Amino acid sequence: MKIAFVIHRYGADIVGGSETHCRRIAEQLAARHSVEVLTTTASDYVTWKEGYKEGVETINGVTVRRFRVRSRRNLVRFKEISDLCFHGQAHTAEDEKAWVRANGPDSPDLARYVRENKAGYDAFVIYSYRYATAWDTLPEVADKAILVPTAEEDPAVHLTIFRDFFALPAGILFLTPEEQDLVGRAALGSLPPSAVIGFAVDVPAELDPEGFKKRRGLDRPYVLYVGRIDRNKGCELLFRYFQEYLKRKTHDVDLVLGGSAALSIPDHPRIKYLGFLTDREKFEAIFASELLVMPSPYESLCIVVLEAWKAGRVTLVNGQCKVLRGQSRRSRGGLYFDSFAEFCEAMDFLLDHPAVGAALGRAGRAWIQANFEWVHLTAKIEDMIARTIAARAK
Amino acid sequence: MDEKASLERWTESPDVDEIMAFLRGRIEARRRGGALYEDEIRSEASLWLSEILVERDEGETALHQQLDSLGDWRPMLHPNFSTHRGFIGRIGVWVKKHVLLPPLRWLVEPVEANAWRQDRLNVRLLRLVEEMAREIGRLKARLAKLEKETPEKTDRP
Repeated sequence: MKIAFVIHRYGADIVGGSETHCRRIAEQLAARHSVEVLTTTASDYVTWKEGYKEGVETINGVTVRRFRVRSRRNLVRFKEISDLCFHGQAHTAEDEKAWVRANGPDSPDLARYVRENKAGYDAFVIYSYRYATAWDTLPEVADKAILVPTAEEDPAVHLTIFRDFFALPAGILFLTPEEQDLVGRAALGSLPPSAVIGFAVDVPAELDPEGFKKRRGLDRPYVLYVGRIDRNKGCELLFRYFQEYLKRKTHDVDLVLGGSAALSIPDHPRIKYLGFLTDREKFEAIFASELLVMPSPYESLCIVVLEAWKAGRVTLVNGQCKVLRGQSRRSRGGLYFDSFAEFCEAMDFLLDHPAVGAALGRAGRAWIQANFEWVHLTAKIEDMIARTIAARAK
Repeated sequence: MDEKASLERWTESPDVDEIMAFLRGRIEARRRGGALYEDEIRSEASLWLSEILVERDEGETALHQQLDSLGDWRPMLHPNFSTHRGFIGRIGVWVKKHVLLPPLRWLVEPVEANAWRQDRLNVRLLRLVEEMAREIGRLKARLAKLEKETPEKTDRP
């Protein structure tokens, strides 16, 4: 089969949930199918600043076609239209479409390529409903399109223009049952055929967590956060909670942060920022940590939480995020907090009872092994593509 | 729940719902016993304040409107030249704006900056006062409900 993946940005060095999900699945399927990625030249998710050249390249065995971004995101315009659409003011469907345009990335060349080359592909796997790249391409190839919405419990999913949009593709692949439920409620009428695929994670071989701690000067037990350090990821909340937690003086721990920072990090002796971590360093940091904390209130799937469970580490997540709470309960891999008091109580409990923390980590690992291996995931995607082809043949 | 037995069981087979119920029970018991530590109260208050004060929406509160009805209280952010003297007055305003003000900008600008800072502080503090008023309203309602539900204590047998 010839499969095209359509995504707003793509690259081996790009850190982002949906981007990583897309890249790893494209690489897995490329072993058995002809796979191409159709994307933009953008590298920055805030401004869509171009970080790649237009044209064709190969990344880890996958052909990547990049198309120019016509204009960067106008942040003032984006804030204005977001305020209009999301803060309870009366607005129209045209305003909502203007929000998608302002969200970007704006790449007419990508949309044109998809329109003109539709016949050359058996299926288009299109990522992230909220971006203009999905909005512009999916309607052009609806009968061959499989949408991976990566929808989160945030206001965008309830925009009226997406009610019909979610009914357009030939199939939908969800990351979690919570996301399936969310999109099912947001869509008008019944959804197209769908499946929950999740994600599979691989742990690099020959890790050296103790060496990592020494190299990075981490001499105290620590709680780890890995990902974009961003207000939308709950990091501001985490900083406040952690600093207040330390004032209680029950445990002598550091908070270690890894990832790109889009938020100023408090200048505090117990908060240590390591910058971008390679895949190997990330796993070494996870193995050397006491627990992994994920404060994000909005997640469609949090890969680093799955990675922590795969590594057998316990997690502490924001209970306001239905996906993280649901996964923690299903996997039995970690605890969650709904308030500052619960954050403190859960931190104390996990640090006081490492044997229970280890048991939670083991349960998380067993859950990952039973449900999230590549063989399960690729089989579900191939099955969905086969179903869309069969539906077209009728 | 026997804590020791539970911990032993969770070491073999952890149950997230049970552990969360256990943690919530500990919080509730501490609070019921009045053992809400001073630093916990301070932390909750500090978090509550920071959530209100960092709120992005800088829109006006109901208090703004109430204060408006009491008179002119808002800081003037820029020099405001106006006249009721007709043509001669308008010439005076033009002279003040375009002749007298420009060489005095160095004096006016710090005052404008301070007025702007004061205005932002006012917005935040008024939001805080309004939120506290709401909280008092909620607590009053809760207290009234509890008083209604709880039989009055008397000394009589």
